[in-house]
Amino acid sequence: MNDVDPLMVDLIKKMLEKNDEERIDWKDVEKHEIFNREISDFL
Amino acid sequence: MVEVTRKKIKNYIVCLDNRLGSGNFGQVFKSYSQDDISQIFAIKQISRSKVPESKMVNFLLDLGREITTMMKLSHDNILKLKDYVCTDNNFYLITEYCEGGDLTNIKSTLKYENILTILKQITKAMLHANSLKIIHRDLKPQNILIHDNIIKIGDFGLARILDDDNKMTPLTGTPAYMAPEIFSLRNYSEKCDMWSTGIMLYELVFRKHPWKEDNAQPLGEYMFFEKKKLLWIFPL
Repeated sequence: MNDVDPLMVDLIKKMLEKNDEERIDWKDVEKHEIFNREISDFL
Repeated sequence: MVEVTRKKIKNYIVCLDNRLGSGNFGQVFKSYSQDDISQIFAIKQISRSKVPESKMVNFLLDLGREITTMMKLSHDNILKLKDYVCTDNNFYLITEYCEGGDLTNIKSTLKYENILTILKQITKAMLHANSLKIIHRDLKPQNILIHDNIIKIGDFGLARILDDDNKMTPLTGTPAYMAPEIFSLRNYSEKCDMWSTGIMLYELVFRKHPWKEDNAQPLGEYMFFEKKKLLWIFPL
C-alpha cells in the first residue's frame, strides 16, 4: 500500500468528503493533477 | 417437454438461455436482430406480474422516466438505449450489448493505468449527464459495463432529472456506495455520484471495499455515529 500514488489518495479523499458542499465536482476532477499524464483511451 | 430458449419480441430474437443479469423487477438477456444476426443487443425484460398492483402507477412513472432519461443521453461512455417494447405481460428495454461484462469481472486484475482510464471515462460520462441535469444515483461496479475496451455506464433506472433547485430527497441507491447525505435523508445533488465513484475508485486502488457491511444501517452508523473511522484513515 505504500506505493499508492499520492495524487490518487488526494483525489479519493476529495471525492469522499463527507460534506457534499465541500466535495470535489466533476469539472475539478477533470482538471485534477492526476490527469496531467498521458492516459490511454482504452483499457 | 421442449424447453423454450428463444422468443421473438418485435424484430428481436431474445436468447432466454443467455441471461446477462437480473434485478428486482426483471432480467437481462442477450438478443439479436432477426434481420441481421450480427447485430447483438441486451434486452431488459421487466415482468408486469412482478410489479404489485399498488405500485404499478409509480413503476410506470419510473419506467417512463428511465426511457426518457436514457433517450436524452448520448455519449460513448454511457450505455445507449436503442428501443423499447411494451406487451401484455412484459416491458422490454433494448440497449447496446457489452461483451466485456461489468467492472466486477475485472476489478481485481486492473493495472493502475487501467484505473486512470476508467476514471477518465466515468468523469467524461458524468460531465455529459450533469450537463443535462441528470444524476445516476446508483453508480457501482455492476453498472460499469465494458465494451470494445471502453467503459459504458448502464442502468440509469434510478436516475432522475434534478428539479429546478437541483436538490432531491428520496432514499435510493445501493447502501455500500451511497453518499452520507442520502443516508441522512437530506437534500442531495449530483455530488452523490461523486461519492459513489470515490468508493469504486478506493475499491479499485486498494483492492477492497472501504467497509464490509452490506446493508444500510451499519453503513449509516459508520458515517453518522462514527463508531469507527475508516474511510478517512487510508491504509497507507
